[in-house]
Amino acid sequence: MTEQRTRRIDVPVLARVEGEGALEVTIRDGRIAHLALRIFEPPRLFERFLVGHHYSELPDLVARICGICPVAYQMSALDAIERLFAPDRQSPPARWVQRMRRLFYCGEWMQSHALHIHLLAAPDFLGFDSAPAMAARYGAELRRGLALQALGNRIISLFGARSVHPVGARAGGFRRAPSLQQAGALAAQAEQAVPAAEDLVRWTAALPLPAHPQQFNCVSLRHPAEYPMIGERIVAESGLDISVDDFEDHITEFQVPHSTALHALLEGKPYLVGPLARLNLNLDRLHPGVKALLAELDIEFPSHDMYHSIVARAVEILQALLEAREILADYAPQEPAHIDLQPRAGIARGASEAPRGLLWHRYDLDSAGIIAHARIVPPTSQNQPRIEADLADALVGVGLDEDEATLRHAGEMVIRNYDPCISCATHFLRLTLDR
Amino acid sequence: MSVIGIGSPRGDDRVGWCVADTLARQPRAADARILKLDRPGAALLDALAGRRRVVIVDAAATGAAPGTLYRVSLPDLAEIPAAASSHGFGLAQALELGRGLGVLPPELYLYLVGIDPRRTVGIGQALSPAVAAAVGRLTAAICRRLAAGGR
Repeated sequence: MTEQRTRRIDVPVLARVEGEGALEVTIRDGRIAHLALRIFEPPRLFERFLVGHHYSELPDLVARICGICPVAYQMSALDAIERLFAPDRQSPPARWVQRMRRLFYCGEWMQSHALHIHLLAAPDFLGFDSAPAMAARYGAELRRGLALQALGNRIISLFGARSVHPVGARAGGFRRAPSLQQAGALAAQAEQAVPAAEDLVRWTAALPLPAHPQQFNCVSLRHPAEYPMIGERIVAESGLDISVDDFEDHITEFQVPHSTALHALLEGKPYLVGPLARLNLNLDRLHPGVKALLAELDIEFPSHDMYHSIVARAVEILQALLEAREILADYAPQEPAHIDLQPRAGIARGASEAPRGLLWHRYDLDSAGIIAHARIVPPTSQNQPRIEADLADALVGVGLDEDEATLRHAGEMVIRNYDPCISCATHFLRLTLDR
Repeated sequence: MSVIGIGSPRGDDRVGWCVADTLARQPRAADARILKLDRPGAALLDALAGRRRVVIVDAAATGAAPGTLYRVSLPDLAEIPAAASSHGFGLAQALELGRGLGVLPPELYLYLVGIDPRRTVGIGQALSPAVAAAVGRLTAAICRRLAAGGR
């Protein structure tokens, strides 16, 4: 019989995660007795904060929830209210707005994914503590990544005055249309960036990634023709194919004592949202240029190895860049840059694919368009049960008798694959190992 | 000369923006390029690209009294744990990355204003008095720097 030892260690780690959290692991007699990813998120204060506001204020209010993905919050909120108000979405002005939203969103995917790949994930795989430590050896790669991130930010800035917390989106469209000259300048930059984005995909696929295939169910939006960004249907590998309206019938959120973020389950089971899930479910919707490049790689998609998430992010940067290039090349301004909306009472539900995964919103509105109830289901809370399952599996794989530093590093790498935005709070993760 | 105020909309974390706003009203700063950035992370490097002289102002939870002003050199910044800066991939890491890549401006002045992290909860919340009082002092210091070498 093994003598039971109890040791508590507090280590501030995981600075390369957006937000603040802590990982608690209790090991008893060589097995994991308890594992919890604690998240200290001000509990859903934001949903309450939206109550009583007019729907037209939503784009500016929800952009404040997340400093990394403000466009996603705006697009899910606007998709929700416009699905309820049901303007003619086939009219030429409405179609122009849809194209511009797609361009706006491409910018966010590019900047968020480039940040994650280069500054958060790559150091793990190349054996560095941080991105600055990589600079001497991998300067060219970091500069390439920062340039792609900057291009994404400039695409967002085309519509909003600022790339962080953009102010350009409004109900029905945008406050103003970019000038032909601004769009033309960006179109040229997008064209020039294509080889860099292609090289980035090859570079991520050639990284020394660990191999750790697992079983999990992928969930994403599905668009009739395009790679999913804003959409009507939610699909899963398990066969689920539902309207965005029916999300709450299938996905349940519940509180857990160790986290102020809610956890979500699909039909009672953990599931994955995010770049790898999107790519696995939408390979047939990729741009032909992306499909051709994927065929060259040694990695097969669909993949159920979370370490391929970094490759999926690079693939989505290329996808977003190729789409942005085409939208910018065909660009013509439209005035006004929005369509008019007529509010109606009812329940507004909508969703979009934030860089980190499916972001679902619900607003209960009265006939004047005032919000009576709001519900926001972010990707990180959906992934949280999956992250915990992955952590348990990964730590056992590494060996629970390994030293703390080894276990902590393995845990950090697992968590970072999901790019959790534990934020919309602040800093770091602490590991408490009890054994 | 560029002046960059870094912050977020949360309470005392706005102090860098408030300094930028106050500076923008000063006639002596008329020739400066003044920017307000919201938790830019590594995108700060894009804002620094090609600049010769830059002043950066940010909030920092240093444990000292709120409103304490710091003029920090880059080597000192590396000593500040990442968690003390207010935003994810923070200022210290972004500047360390910029230094590693050799893309920092030749003249870079960094000012930090000590804040209490408990005063960074409410969106749009007013600055606490001690931090508000630091805005004027810091603006005056930056104006002196502008006057000293306003190229």
